[in-house]
Amino acid sequence: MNPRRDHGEAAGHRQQAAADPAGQATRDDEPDPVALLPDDVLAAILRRLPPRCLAVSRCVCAAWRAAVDARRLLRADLLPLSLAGILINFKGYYTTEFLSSPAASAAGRPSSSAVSGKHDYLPEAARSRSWGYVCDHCNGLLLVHGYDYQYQRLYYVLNPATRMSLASDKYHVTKLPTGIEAKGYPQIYLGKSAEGIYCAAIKGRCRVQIWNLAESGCNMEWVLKHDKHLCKWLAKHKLEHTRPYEHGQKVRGPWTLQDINYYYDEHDTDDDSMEAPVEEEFECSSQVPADEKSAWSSDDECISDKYYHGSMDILGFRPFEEIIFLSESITRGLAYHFNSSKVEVLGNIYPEEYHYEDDNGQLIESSFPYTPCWLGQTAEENS
Amino acid sequence: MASAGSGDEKAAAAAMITLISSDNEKFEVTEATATLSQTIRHMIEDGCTDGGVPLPNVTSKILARVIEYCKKHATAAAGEEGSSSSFSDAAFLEVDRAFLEELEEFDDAFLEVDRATLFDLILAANYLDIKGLLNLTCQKVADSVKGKTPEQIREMYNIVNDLTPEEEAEIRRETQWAFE
Repeated sequence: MNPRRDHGEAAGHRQQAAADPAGQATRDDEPDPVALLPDDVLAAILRRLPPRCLAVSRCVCAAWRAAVDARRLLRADLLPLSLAGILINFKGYYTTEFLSSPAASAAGRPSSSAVSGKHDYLPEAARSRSWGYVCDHCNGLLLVHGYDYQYQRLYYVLNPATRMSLASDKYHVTKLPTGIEAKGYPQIYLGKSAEGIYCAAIKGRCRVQIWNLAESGCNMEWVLKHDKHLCKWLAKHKLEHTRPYEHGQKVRGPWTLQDINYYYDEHDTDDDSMEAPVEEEFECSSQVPADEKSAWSSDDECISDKYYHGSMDILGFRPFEEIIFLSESITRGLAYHFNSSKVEVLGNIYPEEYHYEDDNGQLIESSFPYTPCWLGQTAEENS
Repeated sequence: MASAGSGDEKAAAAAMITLISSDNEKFEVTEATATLSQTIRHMIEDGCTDGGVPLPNVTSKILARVIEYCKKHATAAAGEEGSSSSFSDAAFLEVDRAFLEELEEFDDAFLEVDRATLFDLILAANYLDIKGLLNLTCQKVADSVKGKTPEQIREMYNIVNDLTPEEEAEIRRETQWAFE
């Protein structure tokens, strides 16, 4: 190495040592003192770090990563996971749809999106080419209901982020906020967001009410955080068509419905010609600018919704941010920032060739935002 | 007086333990001080401390510091026990608080060492199984890592990055939120 550079580094080290409040001396010829520590002691040090620092220290060297991973110091259930998209169960569909966020696609593997409902990692016994009906989820794992080759019921736990699967087999009651009409999902939604537990309800056609569960000691009560009509925005940014299959025109937006039922759920076929089209190159900035087109402030909203004929459903809350995801007439996905009353268009949510009708318009049975976990929680079980 | 004195001396001598450092220096400590080390406590219980306890992994320089720590913390523990009976509750709490403050100050001053000594102390505390000292020194290192980037941590401790670029990219992807 160039001696002058060595010199520079030494000077840098000295400066750093001087700035160190403990006044620790640093010697350049000193080998890595941490390498001399037994594994247990290294772990004892790292154990004291908060999750963010622990995640960073996995990146320092192989020994540090091993120390963190071997003892599971980084607990997946405590991590702030990022949102990959929204899982939606449509009435009449056996396979859960996935509305994929653009961030998830960009951060993931080079081709297609990172989290996919397409089958290439499901248990041998599962006979379909996609995941089945997602019943529930937690910590990045999905509880999936499917069928095996003998058409026997099959439940399994799936991590679509790391593409691993596992075959498997004193209550405190808090009442819902008063004033909620007992309509049930999808007009009432319970979820977690920025400040803990939230409950949302759609009143009438497009009035959004949101409560936050305030805990003080043993008492828990619902505090109304938000109560507004969205009709003015909806009237101003009218949907051209509901039921896009009749018009061949889809809502455009940065989020993409994977259309798993249409592309992948062809049972018994080995033909791979049914591939989802490569996602269109989509410039979020140009298509969804922060202007009137997609974002809007509802300060001057009207009170009446009699001129609005669509319907609103709740898809879920965005974790850690005061945003609620809505479905407008099962055609357009919306993100509503309820602290600033801004609306953003996510994109089309109407599945390709979906022909179900329902008198009550309740075509979405359930949905929940999905936050993947990339750490190999099931690694040892799998190997 | 003289006879009583010799009796006390005998009892005190019985409670003394000799620790021998790697460079053959001998340290006489009380049993109360020595038993802060679980390793030595087990040796005493097994009755194998006659003729001194050789500690081939600890140099005299480090052993002196470790004993300094143990002495202080052993006195503090003894002081707390002694005080509990002879003071009113309020006075006891006052004394207790003063003890803790003094101990904290001692610990802070104790950690004012160079990095090599700090890591030697960690190794000695681990070998001798002195929980308090291990906690104290490990926390010091953990604090130095907090809020740093991987690059800064490597530079600080001269750690060689033996991860391949692919592995590093994989780790960053797994916990992307930590690097945002």
